[in-house]
Amino acid sequence: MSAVAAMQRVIVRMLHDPLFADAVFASRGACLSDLDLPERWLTSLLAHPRPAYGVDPERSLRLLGALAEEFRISTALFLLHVGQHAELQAFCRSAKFHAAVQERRYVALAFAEWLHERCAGVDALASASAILQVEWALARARRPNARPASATSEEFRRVAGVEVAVVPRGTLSLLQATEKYLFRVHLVAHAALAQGLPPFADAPALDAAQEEGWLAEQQRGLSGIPLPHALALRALEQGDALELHRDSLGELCEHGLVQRV
Amino acid sequence: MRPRFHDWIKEQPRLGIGISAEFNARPSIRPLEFAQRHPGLIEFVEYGTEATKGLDVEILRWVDAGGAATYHFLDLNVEEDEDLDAEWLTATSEHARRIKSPWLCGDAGLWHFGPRDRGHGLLLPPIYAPESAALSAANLSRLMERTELMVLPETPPALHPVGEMHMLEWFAEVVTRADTGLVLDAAHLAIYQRQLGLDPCHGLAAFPVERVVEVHVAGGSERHLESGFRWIEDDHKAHVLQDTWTILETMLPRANALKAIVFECEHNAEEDVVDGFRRLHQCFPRGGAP
Repeated sequence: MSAVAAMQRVIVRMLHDPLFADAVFASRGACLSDLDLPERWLTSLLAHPRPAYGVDPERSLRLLGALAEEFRISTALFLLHVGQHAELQAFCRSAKFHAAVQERRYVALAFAEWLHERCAGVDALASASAILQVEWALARARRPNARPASATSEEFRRVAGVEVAVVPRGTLSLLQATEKYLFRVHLVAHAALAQGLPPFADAPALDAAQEEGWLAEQQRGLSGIPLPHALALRALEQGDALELHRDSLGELCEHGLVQRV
Repeated sequence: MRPRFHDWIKEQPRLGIGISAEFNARPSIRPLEFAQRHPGLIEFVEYGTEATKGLDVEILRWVDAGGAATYHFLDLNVEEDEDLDAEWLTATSEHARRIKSPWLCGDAGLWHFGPRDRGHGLLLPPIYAPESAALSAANLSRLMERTELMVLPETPPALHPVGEMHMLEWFAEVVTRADTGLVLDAAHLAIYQRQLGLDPCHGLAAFPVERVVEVHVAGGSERHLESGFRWIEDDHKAHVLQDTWTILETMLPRANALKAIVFECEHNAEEDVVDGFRRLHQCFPRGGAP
């Protein structure tokens, strides 16, 4: 990473995270010592008044808005549970956000990782977690350069831009029910101002004992996929033994979702 | 082999006074209707977009009716060579050629962080330092070679510029190294000078104004926080600050490569921007000096 890029990314982090900007000023840049930035630039960075970095307080909200649009259902279920938007805003203060910016990685994928960790181990967030797997697969499929296809077996190779999610049975129903709820809420958007949102009372339950498969493709988006095919894709992705999945892999090759090496 | 700037500029048309437009940004002034209601007031449209969004109905209506247009990118980090990927280059070239843009332009700086993605809504200036100038000039040269279009970097707004060079020094270095021209955004320069406590025209005397191909003029509003921090917001309102006019009028006598002035005002009521356009026509009249 060039010093120019490193410096720019520090500024981006300061603009999205006021606490980080405070820390940079309070330490006179010492908290950035691992980046080895030229002293002359740090001097110039700190020569501006601290408020110069805070004239656009909605900046992080706009970013979160874009992320919530992409991870629409999982974010909605997360917010329904935690009840405070500040919980979502914590992403811009997280190590995952800062690392993604500083290392030039996709912030959307860092957000998915962060949300995954926030949901992990919380029973009430199992629904958000299941939907997140689907939306995360789609986010990866949209950004095939984030994870180039690599051969995990000598025989087959995942096609770039094809991702799979294996989730608890009932995830599709839950996704549809949440979409329906969000549509209702959208119709009464002003209710949020008056604390009058209708409750989300009819969420279908997930069946953790059974699974269903989802395919995410860069061009075609999401679609259901037979579970054996999803399990075959997952086994290929994880480098597991493929003996049980030979028939499925053969069919996936015919559909162009897997390539023979 | 691309032409040298001083040869290229001789072949370029005088576009005159134009209005800005952005992909699907509504409500905004529709160029065709505005031109019909105010004949001669706008002579071209500068269209800003991201490669993935492309062209919208209004710009296609304008160019298909014979209107001139320029292409302004909103998605290239000029300091990052990773940003010059094949997909972006192809899409940007196609869009620019579809609207017959004589050159590419766009603010030099940071439009997004991480790989190019949706929803960042960022525009930061480059690091005003020799290292960044060298990187940017190299990337602009590559971009010009790949697209076979002259690329004019634009002076961006800045409330907290970082680096040891003045913005104008940095741009002089970049356009000389890359052998290209530039877009001087007079409103952005006014914001920058004010933020550093400098005269609006500080540095202009030594600046290669003869490489300015296009000028942007836009309204701005003086704002302040409770802490007392003051700045000019680049809000593109109809009222243009005096500092911006001063910069424009100071540089014009030396701007012998100037082909186009854009009034960035499309989100205002039509009647509020007519006077601004008239003043610009007085500054940059057809057929010679005012």
